[in-house]
Amino acid sequence: MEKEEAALIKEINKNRKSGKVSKATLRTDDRVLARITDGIYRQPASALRELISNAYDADASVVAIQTDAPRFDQIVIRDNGNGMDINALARMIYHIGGSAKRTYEGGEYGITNKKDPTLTPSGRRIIGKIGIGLFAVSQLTRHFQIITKVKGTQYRLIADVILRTYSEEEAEEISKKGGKVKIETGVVEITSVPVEDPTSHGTEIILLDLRPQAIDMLRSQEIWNSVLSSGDEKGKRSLRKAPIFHIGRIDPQNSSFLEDSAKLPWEASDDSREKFKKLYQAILSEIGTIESTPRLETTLDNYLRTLWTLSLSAPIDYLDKHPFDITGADDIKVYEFSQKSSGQATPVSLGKKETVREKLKLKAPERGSSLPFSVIIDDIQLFRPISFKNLPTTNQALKKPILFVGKFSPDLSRIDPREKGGNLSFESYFLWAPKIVPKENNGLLIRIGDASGALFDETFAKYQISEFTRLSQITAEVFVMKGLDAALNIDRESFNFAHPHYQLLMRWVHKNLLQLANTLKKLASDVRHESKAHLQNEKLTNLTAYVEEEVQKIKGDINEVPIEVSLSEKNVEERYSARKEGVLALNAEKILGMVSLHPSNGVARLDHDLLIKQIESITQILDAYGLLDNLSYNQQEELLHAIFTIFLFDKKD
Amino acid sequence: MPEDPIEDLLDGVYQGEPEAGKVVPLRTDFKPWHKIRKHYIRLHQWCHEVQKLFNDLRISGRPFKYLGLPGDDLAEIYVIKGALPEGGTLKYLGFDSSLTTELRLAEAEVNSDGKIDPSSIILNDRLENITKPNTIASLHLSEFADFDIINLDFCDSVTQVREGRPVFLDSIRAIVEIQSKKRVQPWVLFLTTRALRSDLDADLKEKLLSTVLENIKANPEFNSAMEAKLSLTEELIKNELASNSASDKEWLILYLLGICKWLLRLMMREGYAIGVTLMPSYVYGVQKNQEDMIACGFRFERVIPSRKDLSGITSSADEDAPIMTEAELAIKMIDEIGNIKNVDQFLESQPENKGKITKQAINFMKELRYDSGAYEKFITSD
Repeated sequence: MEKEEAALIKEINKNRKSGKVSKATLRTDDRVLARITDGIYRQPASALRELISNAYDADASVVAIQTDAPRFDQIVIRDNGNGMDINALARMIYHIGGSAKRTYEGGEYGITNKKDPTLTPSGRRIIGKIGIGLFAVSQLTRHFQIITKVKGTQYRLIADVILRTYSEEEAEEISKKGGKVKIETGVVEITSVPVEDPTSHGTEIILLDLRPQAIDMLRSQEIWNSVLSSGDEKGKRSLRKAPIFHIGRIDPQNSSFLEDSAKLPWEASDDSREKFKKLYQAILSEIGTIESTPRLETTLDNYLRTLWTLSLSAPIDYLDKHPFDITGADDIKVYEFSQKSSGQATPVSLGKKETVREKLKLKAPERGSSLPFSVIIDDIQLFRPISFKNLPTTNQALKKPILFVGKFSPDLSRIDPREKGGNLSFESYFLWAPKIVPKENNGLLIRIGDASGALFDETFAKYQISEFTRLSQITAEVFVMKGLDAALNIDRESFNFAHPHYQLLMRWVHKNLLQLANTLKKLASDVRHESKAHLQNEKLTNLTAYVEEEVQKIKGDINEVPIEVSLSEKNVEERYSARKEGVLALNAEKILGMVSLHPSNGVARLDHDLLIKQIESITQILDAYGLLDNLSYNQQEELLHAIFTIFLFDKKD
Repeated sequence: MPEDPIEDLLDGVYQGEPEAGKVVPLRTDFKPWHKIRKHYIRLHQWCHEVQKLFNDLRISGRPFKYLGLPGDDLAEIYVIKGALPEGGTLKYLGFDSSLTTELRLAEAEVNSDGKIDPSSIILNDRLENITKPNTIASLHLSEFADFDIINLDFCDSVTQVREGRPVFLDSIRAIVEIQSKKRVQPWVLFLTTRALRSDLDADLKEKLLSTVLENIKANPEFNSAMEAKLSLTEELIKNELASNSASDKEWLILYLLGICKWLLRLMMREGYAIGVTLMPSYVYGVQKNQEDMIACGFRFERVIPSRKDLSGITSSADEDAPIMTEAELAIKMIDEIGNIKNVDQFLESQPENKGKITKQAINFMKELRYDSGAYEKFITSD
């Protein structure tokens, strides 16, 4: 223990009787750490994420974040974890970036498990890495208080922390003095107060003097400014629409007042467990209203999106159940990834009560302890916002979601330990669904110790094969049981791609994406062969009826019929003549481009007929709106060609 | 002044150096509400009624909901939490416009045993902001409502007028309105107020006492009861309005009667039908040998205006059961006002009781982290 640290412990103990404040300066002898303490995170939500992780690492069963939303003058993070005693607090102050977490020393401070330093005292897998998580609050404020107590002690500690803004200039000056002088990163004032109930324990972080930009972010000020400014000028196209769900808009001139009331998918009286579920359902029900696939960015304001982000990162339960707890009674097909490098995944047959976990001997989430953990923010209990039931279906060949599951524990014993980076073991699922809602749930999310700082990576670890449609229909999570930790960057929001564990994981993911694609192609082809002819004929009839109905609606007259569109005239003269008869005859070759007008087999013939019918239908709708009126035939053909080409993107992969 | 473009850019980026918050290990900042008599009221009025309501409502599977003005030691939150039976949890909404470090520490302390609902909050706001539309205060009130107990413990008078409005009466109105919309079960309002005649706005005084005069006119039984139980007459009230002629004791009773009648009338007006009953209440003096503070409690309960099917098509066994009217409730209030107890005198006359309460108060203050020795000196000097 350093001299300074020992002296602080002595002073706090001495002052427990006198009531005097013990002062300490936060210092680090490392410029990199000083810079880290000042803030390496990109979003204010990261600060809350790190504080939730700290609560989890402190064996809390509940962490509650209480704010005065939508004003955000007050933010308190309260947990019922182990708390810190004088020694642990002093250690934290003098060892920023040198956490006792994950060290045997941590056991002495009650921070880690005495037998295994990678676990908490209760046996949870520790999320925190080097003890900088607390300083993530610098995203939100320079001034905060820690109120903490350990079970069995007769005192509670209150530490008032004021951080200092890092300056390279100052660091240079210190360096000139010989480099041994530590860089001051803040000051702490500690007071110890007596308690009547020695059994209580936990930590509370109170954020004071919040940064104006953090408040603005939480209030979605930028979004509202954009919404309002686009409405200023008459006739100007709206830059941004108000989020569909929001917590209300604060009056920028007087923060005690609301300018717009909240629009939330739940009632204030709803149980805290129900609110988040209703939020998820509300997003699902937005399909087809404004966007075909709702996005959080347009659906939610910053505060609700922060809740969503935190619910993805925290080691909490799923809305319904863990994907490995899906049974044969659930309406979802399950496939297991094969160990082979290519081919297809193998179907898994489950008994009515048999879970995927039992069948395939899976362990995730292996949190290490049965201690429950819940996160409650402003009376909203968070759940992992991924569900495996009642998912949207489509009229595509494959209508229902399919779950692909696999695991990977490579034998790395033959690799030199200097290169290996430790052992690696993980389990994973890939959920394929016709539509992934919200769009931000599309991608790959890697969890270490059931927590994640990163969100869904929609590139699937830079998967290079062009499978755009299929990739956009996958939600995948990897549950890392062993290893990869060293590849996680210290902000916990990204990975070191060069690390061998990340490379292995990436290759495994890419290999299985191929298997998934092969399996889906085979399944779709089987379905198509069975029912395509019947469906297509029905489609042509339905489409004709639909267009007629729409044109009548557009024109407000039930006697109106769509303009007759013809793409069959081969030469200009024939088209001229048809047009004279009131037919909108257009040059099919120009619209369809390289697509053959004479398909060779039965299935392709039907596809072609439907495409022609669709182009004709779009033309009829555009005409009904009068949008073709001012375009030459040539321009009309170019426009339809552009639309047709866009359609073909989907058909080409 | 001309705008400074540089200052505009700096604005909000640099906030100035924050100041560290201060707390003391053992508090010695005693206030009048730390006196023994207040603890008597906490135990005998607040705790008693909380337990009674909890049992009456058979609360289970939900937290007991509380609205209050708790002060920076959160004494009332401690008391209410302590009054709940085993397994009961408390969910509170408090208002305090000067959140001190002591209050934040007290909140951490009171929250540390898992008996407080995690969504409880002391809002950095004034209570009276609930009366204005679209305020953060009114938003939180409506989100938290309804409440089992509302405790408005004012140091001053509830009838204070600011900028032409009786802001606290407006606040009570806002609260009872939201309660009446959201709540089916009975609820309780504790009200602690100073009753100084000199503080009362003349117009408000007239309106308040008019509620009593109108009741006298409308119901002779009310008048008889008032004369018999409270020794108040119509003439005395009129003289008071004309020339402040009532004695201090008479004024105190009249003031309370006015508040009671105002509340009752408000809740029994057309379309409301919420009966208000006065619960055992107390008076004491800010200064010795005075009677200028009232600690009263009201129970609100829906009354059924009529049980009869006026069309005559259906009938039920209990349709002839008596219906509680505003007139009857007003008379019941008079009975309770007649029983009002002076806590100062009661404790002086009961040394044994006082000794018991004193011990309980010392332990309670210790729990709130006050210096026991200093506290004993404080109560002795009182």
